[in-house]
Amino acid sequence: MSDFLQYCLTGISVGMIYALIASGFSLIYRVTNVINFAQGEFIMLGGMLMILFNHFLKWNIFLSVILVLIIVVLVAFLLEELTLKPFKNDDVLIKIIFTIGASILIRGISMVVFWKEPGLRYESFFTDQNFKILGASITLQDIFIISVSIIIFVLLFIFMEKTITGKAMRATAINLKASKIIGINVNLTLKLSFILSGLLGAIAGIIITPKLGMSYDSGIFWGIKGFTAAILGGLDSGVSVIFGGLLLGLLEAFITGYGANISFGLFKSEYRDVVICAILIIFLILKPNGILSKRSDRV
Amino acid sequence: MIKKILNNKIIKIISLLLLVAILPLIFKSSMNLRILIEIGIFSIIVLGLNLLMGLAGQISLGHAGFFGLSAYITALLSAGRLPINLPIYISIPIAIILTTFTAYLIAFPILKLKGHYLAMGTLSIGIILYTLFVNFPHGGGFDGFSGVPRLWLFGEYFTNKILGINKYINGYIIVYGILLILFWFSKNIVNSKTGRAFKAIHTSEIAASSLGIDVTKYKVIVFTISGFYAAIAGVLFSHFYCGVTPNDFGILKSITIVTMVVIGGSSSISGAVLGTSFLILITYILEYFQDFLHRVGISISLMDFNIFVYGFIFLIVLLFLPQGLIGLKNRFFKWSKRDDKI
Amino acid sequence: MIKFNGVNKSFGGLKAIKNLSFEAKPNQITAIIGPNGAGKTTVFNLLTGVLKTDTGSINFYNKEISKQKTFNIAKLGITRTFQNLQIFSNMTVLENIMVGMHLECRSNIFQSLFLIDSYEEKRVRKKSSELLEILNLEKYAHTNCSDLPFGIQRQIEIIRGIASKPKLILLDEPAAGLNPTETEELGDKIKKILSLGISIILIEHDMNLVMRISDNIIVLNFGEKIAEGTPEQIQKNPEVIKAYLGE
Repeated sequence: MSDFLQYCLTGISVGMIYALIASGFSLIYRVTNVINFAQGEFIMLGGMLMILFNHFLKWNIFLSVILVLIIVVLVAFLLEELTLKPFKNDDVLIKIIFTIGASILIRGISMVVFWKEPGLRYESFFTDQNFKILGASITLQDIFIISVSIIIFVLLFIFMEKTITGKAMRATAINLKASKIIGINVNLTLKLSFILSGLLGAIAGIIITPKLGMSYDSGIFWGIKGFTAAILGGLDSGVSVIFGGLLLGLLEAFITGYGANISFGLFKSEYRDVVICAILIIFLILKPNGILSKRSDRV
Repeated sequence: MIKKILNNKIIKIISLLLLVAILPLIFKSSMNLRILIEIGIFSIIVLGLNLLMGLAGQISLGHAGFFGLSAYITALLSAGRLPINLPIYISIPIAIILTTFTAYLIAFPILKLKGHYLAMGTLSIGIILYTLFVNFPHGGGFDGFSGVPRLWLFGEYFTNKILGINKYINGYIIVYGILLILFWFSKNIVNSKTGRAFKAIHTSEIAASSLGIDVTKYKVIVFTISGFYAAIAGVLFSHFYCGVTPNDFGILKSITIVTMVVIGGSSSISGAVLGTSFLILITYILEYFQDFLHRVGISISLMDFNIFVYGFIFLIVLLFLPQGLIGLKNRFFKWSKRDDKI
Repeated sequence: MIKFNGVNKSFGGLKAIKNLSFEAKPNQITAIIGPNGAGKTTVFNLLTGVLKTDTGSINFYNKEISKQKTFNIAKLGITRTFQNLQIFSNMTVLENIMVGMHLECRSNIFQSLFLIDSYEEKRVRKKSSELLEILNLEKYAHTNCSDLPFGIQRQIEIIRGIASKPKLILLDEPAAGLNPTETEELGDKIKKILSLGISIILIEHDMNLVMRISDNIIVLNFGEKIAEGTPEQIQKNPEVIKAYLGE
């Protein structure tokens, strides 16, 4: 029983991160119809920059966070400005290739600017303290991750539902032409979607690094996980991607946890990635709008 | 008048053959031949992917997976690591057939996806295959293994001892010989009923099917063909480098290959080879430059700039090519449609 | 030839086609008209298998086709053009026509690989050129479609549709964007197609054209058939007038 709870807690903790990344994908997708392949790089940058500022340069942690967020937002802004805006009216294929190119570029720059050792971390406030709930242990960092994520999601919800800008973004997502006609500054909402995505990614990177570390090439890894979560939950809804993230986190935790005891075939933990990928493919084909949707056609 | 001569098909064919024949004579050193062979092998994959992406308008971000699958199968069957040990003239066809068949099976479900979803789906396939390579029993895990027998033109004894051809010339002849044949195939496909069907599907699936084209069937065909090309490249890889490692066939490789298609990928098949050469040469130029700097006393590691340069060139090419950004973009997307929805 | 029987089609809550029944006879020009949103293109999409009917049947020469896939329906001899031009802009005019002859071309991929198909290729190429010559467009044969004026592209799309000598071609607003002279020529070309033995169903907004060349007219409004008859009958029909002019 305590095993089960343990896996649940681990799953929820990392699931929140997936949910954050998935929200980033969903946001950009809903507003621009593009899947930002470089999304994972925002997470990577968030983590690496934190390590650089706080661990190597020993700057104050709050200062570092603010700086990291500013930098990542800048990168996201540049990404939209230089790569997507010029090709707004073109083939989806070009846009995909562009975001791929951007992610390669970002990773390449990171490899040079940062360091090559994988899995470094920085010292967060909470790193070592442990709690025991009903036999399962959870670190303060995990609690921090979960709390911060919840706060972010609530803020995001309020922004999208209650503020004018948020509503404008949702309108653009639903109908770009009509939004232009009624006077919504569509360019602004496009930029905003990227900026917000960048923020979400950076925050995810910042809060997960003390626990799992970060490497210059982690971008794709996080991106795929986040994307899978987004598909599971449903790319077109900002709320269901959160469920997707939690679902994925729990699935992974259970497969790794219980799988360790099974020494053959598909449930070996090395094959965890295979199982997740297979799930992704199945969902892409059968239920591209997410587990909660009743439709099986594409949006 | 001169233009007419240059455009003549026969002249083009002869010059191509001459070029291929002369290159190894100019670049005689084993290092240079290695580079040429690497270009050749990747050009084969890129040729196949060119049909899939440039002609038919699909995307595959996991193609290195097929490359690797075929490489691994033939390597495992012939290197004496499994209870079965087969001669390479049996392991090679088995590898190619199995890999092509795998591509065929995967094509059906995966090509139901379009655009981003197809990209992600194929990316996942690439990851699945990569994980397979790492976890293959007797596969050597992350380090892979060596000891794979070399493919000689007429068998080792005759080619090496009697004809006096060294392993690099041997590799060159095999790789470029096959490359030329596949190049010929590709040209034939482009100008055929099948090629037109692919191009039609690229622009408008609905119009294509309204003219009697079974879109699903043709998508599967083009995917399988591109898998076939990758499979051939795979066996050539295994039996030239005499070993395999999973990292040669991972996601990064898949994305690099797509980059080659895009950078060189133009409406002419030769563009595929151009893009490949370009990118592969960059790595070696960097290495060369790095050695030069070392000798002058500046020791920095330029190899780290590899990925950065790739990405940079990739985006620069896409944005600013001398022929005008319209130029290369249009040449690549001459096969593509402008966004037009029903 | 074509029989719609009690066809219904909804999209979510919106009923696009309501209990539609009509007949289009062979060797005639049947026109489908109606205000925007009446469901005309939906009829074409249902006919060609792009959309599936909810209920009802569609028969082509007494063969039920409502469950068939689009390319199979093309094999049966029904082709179409599209409201928003679906010309293959990545190919030349001649190649577009050759795609139109896809079903007639007898080479398969293995023959293509080894150039064994060159005889068949030449045959199809020749036939396509001839088709272009009949309609005086052979000078564009090797031009890229995207470089041609809109009116010419529309014509190419139609020629592509008849290249395979279908039994029936569906023309979706072929006169859209054409000036009166071009529309006049279009009418003549459509009549010429009819004389080749190809039946035609036409969606059009240009009433002059419709009244001039149609043998039978079906009027739709909000997915329902509100009138059917000859041009004279339709022009006098009060329901039709009401639908177009409102009340």
